[in-house]
Amino acid sequence: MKLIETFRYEWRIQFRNLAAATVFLVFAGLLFYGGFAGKAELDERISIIEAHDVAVAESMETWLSDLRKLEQGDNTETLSPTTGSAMDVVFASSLPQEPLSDFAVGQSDLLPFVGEISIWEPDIRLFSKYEFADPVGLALGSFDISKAVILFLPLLLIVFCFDVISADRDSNRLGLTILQITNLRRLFWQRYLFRASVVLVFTLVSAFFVLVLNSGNHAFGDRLPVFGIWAFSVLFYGMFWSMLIALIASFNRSGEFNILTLLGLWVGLTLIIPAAGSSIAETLYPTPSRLAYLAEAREVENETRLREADVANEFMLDHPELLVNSDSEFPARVSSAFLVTSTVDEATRPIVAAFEGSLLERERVLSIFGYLSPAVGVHSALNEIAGNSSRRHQSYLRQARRFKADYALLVGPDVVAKQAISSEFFESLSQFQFMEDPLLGRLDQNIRPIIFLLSLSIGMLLLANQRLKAISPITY
Amino acid sequence: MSELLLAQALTKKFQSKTALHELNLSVRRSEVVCLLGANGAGKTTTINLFLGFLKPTTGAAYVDGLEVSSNLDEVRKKISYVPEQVSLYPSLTGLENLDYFVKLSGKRQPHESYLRELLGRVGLDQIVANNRVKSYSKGMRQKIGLAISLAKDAKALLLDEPLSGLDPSAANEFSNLLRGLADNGTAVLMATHDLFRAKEISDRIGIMKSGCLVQELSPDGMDQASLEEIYLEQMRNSDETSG
Amino acid sequence: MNISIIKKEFMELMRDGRAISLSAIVGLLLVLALSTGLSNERTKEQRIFQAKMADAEAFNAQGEKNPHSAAHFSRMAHKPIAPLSSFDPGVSSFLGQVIWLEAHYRNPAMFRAAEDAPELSRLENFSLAGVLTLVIPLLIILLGYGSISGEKERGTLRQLIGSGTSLQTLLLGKFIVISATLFFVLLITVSFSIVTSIVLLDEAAPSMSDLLMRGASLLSSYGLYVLILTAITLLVSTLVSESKTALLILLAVWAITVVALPRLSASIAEQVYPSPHSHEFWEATDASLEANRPDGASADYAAVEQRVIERAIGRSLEEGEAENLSINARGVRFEVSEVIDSETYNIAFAELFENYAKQRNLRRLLSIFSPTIALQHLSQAFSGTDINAHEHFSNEAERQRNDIVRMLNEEMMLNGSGGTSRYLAPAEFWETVPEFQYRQPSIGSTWRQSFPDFFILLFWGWIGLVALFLLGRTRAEF
Repeated sequence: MKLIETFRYEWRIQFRNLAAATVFLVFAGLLFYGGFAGKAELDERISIIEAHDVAVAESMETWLSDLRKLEQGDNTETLSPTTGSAMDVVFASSLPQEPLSDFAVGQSDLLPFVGEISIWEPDIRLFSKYEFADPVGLALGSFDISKAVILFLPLLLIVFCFDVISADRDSNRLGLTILQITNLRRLFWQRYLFRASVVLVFTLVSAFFVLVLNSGNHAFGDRLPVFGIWAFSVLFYGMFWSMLIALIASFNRSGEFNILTLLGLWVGLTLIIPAAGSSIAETLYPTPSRLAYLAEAREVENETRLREADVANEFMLDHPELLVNSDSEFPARVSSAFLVTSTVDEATRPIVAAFEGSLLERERVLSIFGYLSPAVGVHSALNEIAGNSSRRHQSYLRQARRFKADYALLVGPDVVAKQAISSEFFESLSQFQFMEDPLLGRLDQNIRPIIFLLSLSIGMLLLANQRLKAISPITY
Repeated sequence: MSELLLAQALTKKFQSKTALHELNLSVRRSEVVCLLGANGAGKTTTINLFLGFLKPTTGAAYVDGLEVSSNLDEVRKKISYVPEQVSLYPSLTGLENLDYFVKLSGKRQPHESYLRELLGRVGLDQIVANNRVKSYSKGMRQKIGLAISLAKDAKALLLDEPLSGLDPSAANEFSNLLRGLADNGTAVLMATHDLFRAKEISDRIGIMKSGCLVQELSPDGMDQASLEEIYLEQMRNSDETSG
Repeated sequence: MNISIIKKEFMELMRDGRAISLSAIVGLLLVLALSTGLSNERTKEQRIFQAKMADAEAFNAQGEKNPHSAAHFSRMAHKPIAPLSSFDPGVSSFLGQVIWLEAHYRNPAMFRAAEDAPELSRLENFSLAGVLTLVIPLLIILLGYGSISGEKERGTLRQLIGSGTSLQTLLLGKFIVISATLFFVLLITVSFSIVTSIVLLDEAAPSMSDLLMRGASLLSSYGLYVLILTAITLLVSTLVSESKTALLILLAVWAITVVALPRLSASIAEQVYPSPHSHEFWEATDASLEANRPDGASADYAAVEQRVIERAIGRSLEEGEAENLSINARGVRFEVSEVIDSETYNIAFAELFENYAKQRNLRRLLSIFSPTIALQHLSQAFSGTDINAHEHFSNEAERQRNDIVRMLNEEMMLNGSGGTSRYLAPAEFWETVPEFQYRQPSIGSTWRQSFPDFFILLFWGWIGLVALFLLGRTRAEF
């Protein structure tokens, strides 16, 4: 039988019916809704970032205007006593939204992506402007197109491919079919290729429509190459599942057996292993206690306030060039606050390092689970591609803290000396700029598990092919 | 050799049970051989061994000189098969099912007129052929099964209880078709319970009991009652021997 | 005849290798979920205890300090472990663990534990409740998909009906066996959870009887869920002629109602009633604070001022007495602004929790398509890990904040005469500030809030059973 004839009959028998159309419609609905929800979240993040940038720019514009008045001696009686204090300089910081950010919400609904950097606040409170997102929605996990693919693409493949041989077996057609085709392997792979391709092409085409419909925040030209990487990841994921289903189908058991086995594998690989893996990683490498971090910070704050004079003296000893401006109207609480905040940050730096250490250890443990389940690797990869992974957010927080520390180092002496900074100095300050790791570099941690699972897929293909040689309609 | 189907000391064991014990059987071109026996006699096992659906424990089955187990693909090109239950695709019509299975064999790209001629040869009404198979009776399905075999134009035709569940008229029609095929050169091996039909169409009858071919005879010149007597005698003898 | 059916069904179940091996796997999962859950809860409990000690120490070690400065340093209110969080951690990881009881500000809870969790944990919840919600339906489907359709395929159904058994009786027997088996699994799981929770009980936990009633409530909710799913499974198995088709339909139902719809409903609820972002919330709150602060010379301000002073001195003021009182005016001003602002904050937070309630109500509405949504609400509520429990904690913490700040402001008012903020309270004073004595909400209040969800499950159960009953009576073709 010609390939095209096989495809024609497969289309007729498998896909040209109401049940199949309903399944595809529902799946498309899930993908499009996921795309819509992801876009809505992205639009919201962008508008928050824009509003934040505008608010900070406006407040710094006012601050600069006041400073200029002070420098020009213009209406100084209306100005605040802290005009020109480096403490009051606020920087806008945000995590830039990647071109395919709408494709996976990732951790962006939970972790900070925008915030003011100010040396009034210690690191522990740098991003403590709490978000009020619906905790039930957070607990259940956002619904985006990537999540829809990870959860439901394997199910769709199972539904359409599980019975590529078992349908004939269960209907007692297998004997006749084998006699007619003689080479069952060829028929198996032709049917299989067609069915799996229909599902995968449908998924990718739907995703492409989502890509087009959701374009707006980024140029389509910027989104397309990233979409290519996304599509490749999805294709790899689909391929793994296709080969797994083919292997189970090649055992020539009944359709029921196939469904139950594949469903068990789906539950295990897509839900249980990822969840169990993260639970085990958390248990083995728990993050240091944030409450202990807070307690430590408060204790240091308390102690610093009690020995404020000593702390100030120590600072002056470290900066012998400093001359405190005794004429300054800057209230003492300003320099006190700076000294307290710097001391707290210094004291709690090891705790922050311990946090980062435990996160790294956990990532290492979880990378092992990436070898056990494609959902683990693909989930991480799709979040990374969308730029909404934990790693990228943590990098943003680290850079924000570092920026704050650098600024504190730069202006600390002026603050303690109660010196105002000049408008020229303010204008020379660089703004926060997130230093991005290239996408392919970020995907580096996913490469080895993906290669392993790719090899596994090829192995399953070869094994299935081998098993198909000996298929008989008689099983005993 | 003129024997298209040949079994030499063909034996099949399933764990401790012997389903077929050292069968020696041949079916020549243009010959119809019927295997008679009760359930579990080994008739279906014999058919399945010739089809290559089972591997023999010892002995060998040959189709047109080729040993079945080591030449599966080649052998299956030379045989066609009608199972007891001809299962088709319920959502396709009879014509479409025939078209599909004929194309599967890769032998030719059939024209619709050819397919309809085949259906005519097996006596399936052309209007019925345009209906979906889920509405077909067993007899109609058997006819489609036979049409598929005809299209394959194979040297040997194996049938497993094709007449079970057919009414006398349909069974008669089917038997005549088989005889016609044999007359055209096809070797036919059929497993059946139906003593009457076996006598009507076959050149030789093999009586099987508990995996053994206990008697081979020609029904020529024999009446129905005699054949029945011989059959029952064999069944009784075998019981006494084993009892 | 019913007993024979039940006996035969149990016998088949025991001999079904798939059922036994799947049950063993589920058992293993439950043990793993329980042990990791317990381990994590134990760690959290120790951390909370240590943090409370450290917080008290830090507060008490402030030395001589201005009470208003101390009111800014203030105390922390630590959220205790919920009574049955090892069973269902609910949304507690996505709500903060500690509230800073700072003067002038009602702060939301800080440090959502989920922020430190691996991002993979967002894919699925690996707790006892998570495993039960996901896997119980699959077990029921496995045990029941071929119940009637399989009998039809084998031809035994006609034999049974022909021998005098009604379809209703048959359905009832299969229903009892499947639901009893799953109920047994539930009983073991919930009992284990209760026992381990008793071990972890702290002073904030409800009483033993409250805990046991929570366990019973959980058992009822999950038990209802089992009945609903069993009814649906048997319905499909009866309506469809092929077991394989029944299995496919049931799995599609499971994928949609258990996996997809709960997530979708949360997403839809968020779209319809969007939660405010922090800048929106704080901007709106700041605007309200600004708008609600009466002018210092207004009668409203004077009324609050009088109330504040009278509370501080413990008696009513006479006409014109306030101006002549030897009292720290700054302290009075701090407390007046605290009282006024507190009302605004309470309204803002009440609106926030009201928004969450609207989202929950929309999800409840959508639970006509999926009983899993209602079950998840109940499971979290009875485990003490839902938003209502957090709201209760937040409101109690706010009460504590008001008390602490008032105490500190009154110390300044009464002992810091001179009108300045230079007054330093003695070092021993901080130890007189009372500890936060928090008691988690009772099962009674939980039931009052959760009854609609339970009613939804009851309704689902009633529909399922009635449909099954009617089908059993009216089905004529086998």
